[in-house]
Amino acid sequence: MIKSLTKEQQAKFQHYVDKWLAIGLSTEPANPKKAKAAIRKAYECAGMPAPGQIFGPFDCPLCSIKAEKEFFKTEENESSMLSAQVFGSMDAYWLAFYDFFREECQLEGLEQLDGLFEVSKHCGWWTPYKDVAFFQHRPSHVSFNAQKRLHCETGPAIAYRCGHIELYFLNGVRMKKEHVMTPAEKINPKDVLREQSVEVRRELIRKVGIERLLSEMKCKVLDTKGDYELLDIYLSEEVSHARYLKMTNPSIGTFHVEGVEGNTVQEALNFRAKSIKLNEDWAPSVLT
Amino acid sequence: MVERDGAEGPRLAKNSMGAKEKAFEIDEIFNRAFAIVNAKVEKGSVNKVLNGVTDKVLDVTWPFVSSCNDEASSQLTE
Repeated sequence: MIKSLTKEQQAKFQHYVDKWLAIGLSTEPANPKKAKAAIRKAYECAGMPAPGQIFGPFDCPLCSIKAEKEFFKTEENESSMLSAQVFGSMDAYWLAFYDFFREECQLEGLEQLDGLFEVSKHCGWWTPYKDVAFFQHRPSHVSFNAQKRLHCETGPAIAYRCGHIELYFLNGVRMKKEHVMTPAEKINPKDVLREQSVEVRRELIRKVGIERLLSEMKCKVLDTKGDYELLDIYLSEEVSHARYLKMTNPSIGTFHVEGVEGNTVQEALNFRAKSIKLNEDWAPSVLT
Repeated sequence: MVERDGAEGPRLAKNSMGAKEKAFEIDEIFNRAFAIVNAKVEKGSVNKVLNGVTDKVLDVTWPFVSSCNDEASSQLTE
């Protein structure tokens, strides 16, 4: 029984984080020869005979499902076929855990994972059926910001080779393609304020800039309190006096503008906290 | 996020269930491996590796994995 980890072992944590992040985020094309050998090994480690046929690499999970349906000549529910796919290189987080104990503690019994370790290095997702397996490329592009949040200001943050899956992110927030690809100066400030998702709206404000957003709207400051400003904004003839609370998020240095009700900052704060039963005015700094 | 229940073992959000011709359960492989670690390593040390290694890889890779899965799933149901 291992009672505790030595300081030297704990000092290796970062090595395993770096090693498995590199594997998990790899965008290298699959290596067909090595992927097939690794898949056969994974079956053997699981106590199963190696599959007679291994197909791939397919460009993405959807391309693999199409091939699987054709192979099996089945009309089986495609969602269940997606569920049958396993993560390959993207199983990195668990494989990192076992790799540490295997290498640093020489723990016996983990050799049953040897095939999965190998698969993770040579392909993306894969599907282990009886007698046949299918494997995929990894995504062709993955992009992060400095905080390791999915992020790309000029295109998809995640893209597969076939183009079936292209995902747009700003600072870790999933965005619509037009949010990312439309130049900031062409984004309509009214559309920003109409955005329902708080996080998406925050990223749009960050992109457009709070100064431009407010300068291009017919906007009046009704009340201020600390860093808060209660704004009266003209959105349309029908909504000519929309109330928005402008606030800062000190932890990430961004502005929020949120639709509220009330004639003072305090009333607006109380409106935001209406789901919280309070007998006095809400003070966000106390609650947080 | 991946569901994890301490020393009970990992439960992956996704497994090899569902297809008629499935070969093996990847869940079971990971659960067996987790049982080995639990049997041979004191819980505090297991948690240190979970916190110091697994979670740090997970924090970066999981949004990536889950969003790919969500998008594929969404396209299949459209």
